[in-house]
Amino acid sequence: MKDAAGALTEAASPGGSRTPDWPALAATGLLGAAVPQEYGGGGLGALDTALLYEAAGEGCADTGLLFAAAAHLFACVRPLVEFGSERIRKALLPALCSGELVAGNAMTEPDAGSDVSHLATRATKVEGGYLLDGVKSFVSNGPVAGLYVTYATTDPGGAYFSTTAFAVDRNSPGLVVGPPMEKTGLTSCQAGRIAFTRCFVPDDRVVGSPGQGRLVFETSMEWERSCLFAIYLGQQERLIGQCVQHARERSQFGKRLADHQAVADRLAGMRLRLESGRLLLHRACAEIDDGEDASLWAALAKLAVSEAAVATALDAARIFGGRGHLTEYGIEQQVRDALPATTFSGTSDIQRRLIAREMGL
Amino acid sequence: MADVDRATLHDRLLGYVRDDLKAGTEAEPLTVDSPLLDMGVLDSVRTARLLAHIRSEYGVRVPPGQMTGEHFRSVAAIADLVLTLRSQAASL
Repeated sequence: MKDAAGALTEAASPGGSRTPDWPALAATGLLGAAVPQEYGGGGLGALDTALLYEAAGEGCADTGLLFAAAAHLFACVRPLVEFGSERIRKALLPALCSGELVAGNAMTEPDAGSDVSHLATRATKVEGGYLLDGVKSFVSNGPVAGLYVTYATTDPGGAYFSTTAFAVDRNSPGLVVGPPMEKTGLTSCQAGRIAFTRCFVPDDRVVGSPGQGRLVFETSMEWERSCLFAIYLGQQERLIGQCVQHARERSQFGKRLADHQAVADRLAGMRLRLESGRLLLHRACAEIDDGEDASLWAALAKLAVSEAAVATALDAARIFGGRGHLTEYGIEQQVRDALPATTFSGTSDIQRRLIAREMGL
Repeated sequence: MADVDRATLHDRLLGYVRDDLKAGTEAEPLTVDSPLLDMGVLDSVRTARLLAHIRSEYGVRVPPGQMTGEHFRSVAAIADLVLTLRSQAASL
C-alpha cells in the first residue's frame, strides 16, 4: 500500500496540488475499503481500514489526496452502508467504490460549523419527497462530487431528532455547486459551497429514517475521527523517518544533528506522540469493530492524533531549519496539511467537550 | 438489574430525566407523558447521557433502528422501548 500510495503523487511537483485520480484511488482499495464485498468494497472492518489509510499516509506525501478519499468513504459512503436502504446501497455503493461516482459531505453551514444541532438548511415534506433549502459550506470534494450526503432540519421541535440525512444527486434541480475555495492545506481535496433552492429529493433518498440525521452524522464521525486520522499517523511516521535521516546526515558545530541532545529530545517527543496516538486510534477502531460505543475513544484518538500531527509537522520544520521553509523539501506542505486536522471532524475543543461528556461531567 | 415492572420503570426513568437531565419545573412538573422533544429536553448531550444510563442501569443498548423520535417522545415511550429491548435480550 505504501508504494501504491506513493505512486499517486508522481504527476505533480512537491508542494503543488493535484486533482485526485479517482479510479487510481479506487485501485488502491481506499475508496471502498470499509464497504461489504457484495457492494464492490473491500469488506474490511475499522481497524483494518485504519491500517490501510495509515500505510497510505506514510507512502503518499500528498495528504490532501488521501483526505479526499477518506472524506468520500467515511463521511459519505459509510452512512449509506450503515443507514441506507437496500435500494440505495445497490444503486450507489458499487460506483462509489470504483471511483465512478464521487461523494461530498454537505453538513457544515456558514453559520453552523461545530454547532450541528442548529442547521439552517430546511427540508419541507412534499408529495413523494422533500424540498431542500439552504447553503452548505466546506463541502469536501464538493466541486467535483456527483453525490452529496447532506443534512437538513425536518422537525425544528424534534430536539435530537430534528434533522434528517439525504443522499442527493448533483444534477438535482435547485442544486448549485460553488467554485473551489482557496485553502492553505489539503489543497488536493477541493472544497466548496453547495446551495439548495427548492431542491427536490425523493423519499427513497432519505438515509435512515426521518429524524435520524444526528445519529447518522455521529456514527460517521466515529469512523472519521478514527480511520481518517490514521492518515496522520502515516504522515507522522514518514516525517519522523525523514527527520531521523536528516539528523544523521547533517552536521552542525562539528557533530551530527542527531548528537545534539536538543534535536534527539525533540525526535523522542515526536515518537512518543505518534505511538500514543496510534494506540488510542487502534483502540477506537477495535471498539467500533466490537460493536461498542466508540465515542469516547474516537474523541480521544482524534484529539491526540490531530494535535500530534500539528506538533510533529512543526517540529520537523524546526529540525530541517531553513530547508523546512523551502517548497522543494516538502516539509512546509506537511505543516499546511496538518494544520486543518485540529479543526475538521470537530475541533480539539469539541473533542474535549465530548470526552468530558463521556466522563459524566 | 433484576426484572422490572412498567410502573417501577416509569418512576425510575422519571426520576432520572427530572433530576439528572434537569427536565420540568416546579410550576410544570415532569410527568411520564410530558413531550420531551417539544420541551427540548433531549438535545445531543442529554440524549447521549440517557443512552448511557439505559445501557448501564437496564443492560440494553438501543440499536440504531430504534433511535427514532417516536421512542423518545416521553418517559412512557422510553420505558416501553426499554421493556421491549429487555424482553428481546432475555429471549436470546
